[in-house]
Amino acid sequence: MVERFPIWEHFAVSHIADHRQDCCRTARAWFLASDRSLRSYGPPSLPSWIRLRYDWGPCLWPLYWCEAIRSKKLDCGALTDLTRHAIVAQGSVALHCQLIRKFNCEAISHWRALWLESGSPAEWAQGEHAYHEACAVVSENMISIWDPSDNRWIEACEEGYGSTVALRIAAPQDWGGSQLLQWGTRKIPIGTWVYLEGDH
Amino acid sequence: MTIFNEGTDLPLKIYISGVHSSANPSPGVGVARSLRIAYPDATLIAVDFSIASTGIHYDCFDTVWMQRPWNELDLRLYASQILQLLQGESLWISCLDLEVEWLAQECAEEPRVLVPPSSAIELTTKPAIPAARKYLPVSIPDSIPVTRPAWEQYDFCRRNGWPIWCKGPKYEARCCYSWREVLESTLELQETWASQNLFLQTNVLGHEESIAFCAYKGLLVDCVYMEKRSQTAEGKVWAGRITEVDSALQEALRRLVAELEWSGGAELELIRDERGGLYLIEWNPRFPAWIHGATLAGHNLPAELVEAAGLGKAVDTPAISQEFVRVVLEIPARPGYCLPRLAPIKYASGTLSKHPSGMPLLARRFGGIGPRKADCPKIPQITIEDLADIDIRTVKTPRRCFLPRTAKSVFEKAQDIKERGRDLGVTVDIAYSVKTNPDPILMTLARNHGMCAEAITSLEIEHAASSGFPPNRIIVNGPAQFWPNEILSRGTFKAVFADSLERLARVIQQSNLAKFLGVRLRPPSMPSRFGVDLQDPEAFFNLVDLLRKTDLSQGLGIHFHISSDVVGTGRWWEIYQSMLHWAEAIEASSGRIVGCVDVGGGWFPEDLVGEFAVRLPKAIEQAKRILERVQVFLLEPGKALAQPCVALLTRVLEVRRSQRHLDVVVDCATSDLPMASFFPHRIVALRRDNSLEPLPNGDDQILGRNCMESDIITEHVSIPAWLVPGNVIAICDAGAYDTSMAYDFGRGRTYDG
Repeated sequence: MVERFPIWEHFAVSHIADHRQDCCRTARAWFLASDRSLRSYGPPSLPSWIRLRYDWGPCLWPLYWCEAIRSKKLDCGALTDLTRHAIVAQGSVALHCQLIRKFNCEAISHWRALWLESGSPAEWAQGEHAYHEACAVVSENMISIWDPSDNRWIEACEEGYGSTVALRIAAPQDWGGSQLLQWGTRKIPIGTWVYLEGDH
Repeated sequence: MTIFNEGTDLPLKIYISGVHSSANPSPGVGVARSLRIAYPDATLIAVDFSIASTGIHYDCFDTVWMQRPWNELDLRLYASQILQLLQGESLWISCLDLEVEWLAQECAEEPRVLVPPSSAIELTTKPAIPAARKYLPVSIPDSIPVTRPAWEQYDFCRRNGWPIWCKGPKYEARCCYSWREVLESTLELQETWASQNLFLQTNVLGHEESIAFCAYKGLLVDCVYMEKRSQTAEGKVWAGRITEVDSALQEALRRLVAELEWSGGAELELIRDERGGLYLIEWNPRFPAWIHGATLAGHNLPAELVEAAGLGKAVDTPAISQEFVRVVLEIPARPGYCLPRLAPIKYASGTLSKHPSGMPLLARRFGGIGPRKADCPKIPQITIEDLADIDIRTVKTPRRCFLPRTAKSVFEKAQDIKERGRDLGVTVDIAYSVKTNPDPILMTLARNHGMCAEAITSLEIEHAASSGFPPNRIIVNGPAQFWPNEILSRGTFKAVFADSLERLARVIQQSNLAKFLGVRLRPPSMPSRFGVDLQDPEAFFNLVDLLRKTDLSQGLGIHFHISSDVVGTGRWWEIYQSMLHWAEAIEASSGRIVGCVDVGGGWFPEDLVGEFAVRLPKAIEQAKRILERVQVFLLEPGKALAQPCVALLTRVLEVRRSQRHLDVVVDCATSDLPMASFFPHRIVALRRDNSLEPLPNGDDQILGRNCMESDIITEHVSIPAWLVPGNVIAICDAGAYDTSMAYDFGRGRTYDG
């Protein structure tokens, strides 16, 4: 029997907001120029500099571009949205990926305490599980999931502590790609929560 | 169950040599653990060459055959003892690269010594690994032997970029981030491994992977792929995942193993880059130290090798996990083998504690270092002609000697670069950097070849003006361009680039200061004290605010300056592209047009012509594509113009002979050649008949005249036997900072004269 997490199924993916003024225009220009500088040239490489620059931690939403780039800490949603923008700007295809990952009660209790202490909501972490956002990098109909909070790929075959128990790929309304993407050996329909069978 | 050799009633004995276990382990313990699973009743014997080898205490081994260090062994006797041991009952698996090589020579006819033939080792020797290049779908990273002239090695380093690996012939590699580190590493590895066969190899960025295989008489028995998931600071795997070798690669490997008639274990060390390209960096003629990780995945390669050699059926090895990790364990010391004795503190970290199996000692037995053989650097014919004009009998030394033909050639080539820009739709100008050498001869050459002058202080501006450069041919840079006086307004400068936002705020208030006003940008991730730090978003916001305040009629420019020989030419071009995008971001955010791009390179002379000039059209095309209204492209080649134009002449004061090398004391000093250790200088000894002898790399030294430990001109040169006191040596490539930054020292004068 696969445990389900209805509370998180209705979470919307995180998008950094834009004041549509000079402040956010300059912030975006700084971000994209930084990305071009800090990534090696040649093949589209991953913008791992983002996580090296910003610590992972709570941030307040709504978050605007001019605030995000000046922040010291960004949560997984902000890191993912920045990363997705950088990957797309380099000509690759990247989508938001929502995940539910299994840890243990101790990990969850610490995260909740850290978030609540900073005045941020902590409903993303409950029991033994955590809601998470990452970047699905699309190549033809295959996806690889890059975790900007960890600067590593999330592998389809992970089990146990830290493994993914469910995911949803969120695509924009004008998404013209395939509605069914493959992650490892699994088929993942766009916009649908997929609970993964396995030793969870 | 007792294992017997097929056709005999003798129990199986397997000798495993090289069992040291540390953070940089030999494979012996892993091989033994794997064999113990498949041959529970076999006798496993650890062989090593020092009681410092920790693996001798591991309880998988039934016993230990302890040998004296390699320098105390009679190698012929040792080989005969091994052959005697293997008479009909035993096998030998060597886990030491150099021992494998030695066994391949000494025990070539003995099939129970499971090593490949010497010819196969030869064909898989790094850096070229010719067999793999021919058969496997892998690339081999570029390399250059350290026996090539230092000048060529430095060229290799610049073109491939830092870091560069300095690698020993069989073992050890040092990651070098500068020419000085290359020299230090070369000396250290030559000393340790008693070999000249070192090489420099380009660094490949990527994930480390390996293939391990076993083969018997050319038949590939089994192979596995291993991805390193975590590693030590030395790069040794600490967690890994075992998978099957891709079928195409496996097939290629099968053909290659057959061609090589390989016997024994092997490991191919690979790097997979971001594009998925696979680079082979090492081919080790023995099992890897992580071999038991493969056994845990059900591929017991040591056991399969023993079985293939006909030494009895192995018990099946179950697959437990595709992934393995390493842990550190304390185990009881084996009775009868005391721990290494305490050494006096100053000797505590000797070769044996680092290499308990004594491979450096065996390397010494193999050959010894001998006199270094190296090719001479090539000196351009025009420079030879310039040097030939010197009257060495009368020349007063130390003395800088201007090389007129060389200088003419350098400035003509630079002028040619400028001319080529004419067809590219922008104005290309080259600026001679006054600070590299303000000598009036060079200033005049620059002016006569249509160049601008680049000045960093008001004194340099004055000097440029008095050398005939009008203001509109002067570019002003630097962190103190107002020193010692604020810039005198003699007219409108070609360009002024502020080094800080504070300075920019001042210069934008001065009307008609320059046709182009701008700022020096500090590329993110580049350690530099200069320019506006683009990594700081606040600095970028402030820069954009300042530019918005400039007069709309004022031309704007951006400038960056990174020495290409410090970052490597490839990286320099990456930074160039990123700077164009920063300029684009500045345009987009400020609403102002960037009309001038000024690039500074601190280019090495050869790179300016061979690299920059070649790529200039593409570079300008990129600039125009990103900055649609760019009008002027300024190039500041820095030392590239002045460096080849001067040689430092020095006279030999004394020749000192020791057992290992010659020391030559000369009448110049590092105060006359301050860049002596930063890059290799081509050195030429001048005979009394004015003939020249370029000096190759070697172990001799040229020592400066000053009573300072650091006053060493070079420690890596070969001095000709004929050189005696009174002879003159010319140190080429001394025309830039070696001249302009030289200082008085040891002449009885104070700084202020």
